[in-house]
Amino acid sequence: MAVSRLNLANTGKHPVTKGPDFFLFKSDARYAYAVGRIRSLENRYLTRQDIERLIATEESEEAYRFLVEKGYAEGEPKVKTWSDLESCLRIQRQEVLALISTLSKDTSISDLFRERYDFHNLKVLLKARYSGQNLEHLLIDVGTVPVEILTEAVTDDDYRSSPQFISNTVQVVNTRWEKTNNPQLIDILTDGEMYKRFSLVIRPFGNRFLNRWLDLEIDLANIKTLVRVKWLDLDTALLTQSLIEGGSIKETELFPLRETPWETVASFFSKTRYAKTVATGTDALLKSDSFLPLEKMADVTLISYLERAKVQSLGIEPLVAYLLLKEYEFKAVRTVLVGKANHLPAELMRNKLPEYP
Amino acid sequence: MKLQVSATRMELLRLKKRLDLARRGHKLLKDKQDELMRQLLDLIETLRDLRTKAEEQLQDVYRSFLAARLWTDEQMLEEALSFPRKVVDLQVQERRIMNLRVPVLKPRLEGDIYCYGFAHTSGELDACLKKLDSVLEDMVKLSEAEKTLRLLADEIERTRRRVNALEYILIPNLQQTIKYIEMRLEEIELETLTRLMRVKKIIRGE
Repeated sequence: MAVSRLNLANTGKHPVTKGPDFFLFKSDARYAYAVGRIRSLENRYLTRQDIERLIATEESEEAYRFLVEKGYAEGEPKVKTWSDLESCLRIQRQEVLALISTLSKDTSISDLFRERYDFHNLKVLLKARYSGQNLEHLLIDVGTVPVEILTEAVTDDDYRSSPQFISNTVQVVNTRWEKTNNPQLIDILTDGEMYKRFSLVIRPFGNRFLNRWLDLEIDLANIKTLVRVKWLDLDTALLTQSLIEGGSIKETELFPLRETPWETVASFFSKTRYAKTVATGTDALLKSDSFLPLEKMADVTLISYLERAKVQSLGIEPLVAYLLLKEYEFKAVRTVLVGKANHLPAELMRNKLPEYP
Repeated sequence: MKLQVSATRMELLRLKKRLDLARRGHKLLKDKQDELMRQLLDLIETLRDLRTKAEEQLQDVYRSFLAARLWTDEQMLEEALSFPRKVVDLQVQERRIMNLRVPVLKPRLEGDIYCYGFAHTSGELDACLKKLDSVLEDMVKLSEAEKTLRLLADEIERTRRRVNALEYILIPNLQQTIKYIEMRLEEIELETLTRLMRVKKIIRGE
């Protein structure tokens, strides 16, 4: 199975990014054991057949047994309904993050992927504070800062026990909130700070693979934001605030596209690696009002890039790629579980399945 | 059923007036019932169109929401929607249909429906909220029409009960009582006449 997956990039399923891979990777002997461990785990990615088997299950208990068989959250006691099964994904994600933290020799990088959840928790807590609601149930306790400490810090407005990036983010959000009282900016500013943090850690680390992954991640996020703002006919100022700095395409090049026809957008990206993503995505959006093809194409671009880490034998790249690819697998499993909980027909579920490794 | 009244000429006049009033009331109520019925049938037509349209739109909204939910973690999706910006201020006024007060709902929508960032949410959520935004006014119209329909139906039911009470109980009872009093008065008159004739005979010494 691993061999066929390695060949996916050449079968036309995932577009191949040009350029020699040896340029991307630099060996790091400290990762000999970690990469070996990851290679063995890569064999346990869910395959198309596995997802088909999950779709074919009739009862939630049967699906639970199948997921346990595939290494998902063994021993989760209260699984009774399809919705309960989502907790298996949370546990599995926690396990993967813990594993990567253990295996990584560069904790700043592995922690970065847990800090995503710190930013999520921060958004929840700030929204709870400004709106006066109790949103405790939305906290995800897999970040680098335990939710109790983060909750206490936000409640007391005292961030001495939290990392610097938390207090920086709160300061940025607070300043804008006082002026605008706009809850949307809590998300936009926090997401911007999160990508700033990614750039701050990844760029000086000097790993080409991670640098290019971050470029792709930011570019694709910006492309999706541009298309969404344009399609919804939202204010250009919102686009200015929402675009993330630090990608390979400058935000200043993207702003004018808000006002141009859709054909111009497609032709702007036609010379870039995102040509197919933008052309297919916008075409489908205009025809069927659905963003799924654009998001699917964006995922294909990222997955095909991450799969290149499979040729790297020593280094942090396979760990990061495994962690990120696992998220795509969770997305596919979630699609089936949520589809089952909502009694979606199997064919519709297959159509809605996202890309996964 | 005859009413428990004394059979006097005064009572007869009073009952005749009541009967006249009841007949006029019955006619008015019957007209009101017919007009309410006509309004109800018109409203049913409008309501059917509104409901079909709103249901189709809502199905579309739910379809998009489900698509967004399929690809997004439950907590992240809920976080994105946890602090809405859109404020729906509903002004309730009244209008009258055949003296029946029915509501007129005037929604005032303020703020943007998109209350989240774009980096960690699916575009399907935008599609869902865009559709939801466009269905909001129709849903208010639908609720106004449904409330009006319910009030109309209640009023028709109430009016029908009154019409029936007049038609089958009060008017027949009054008619019966009037007839009884008339007969009783005739009888009394006859008795008096007979008594007079008898007295006349006695006086003549026959």
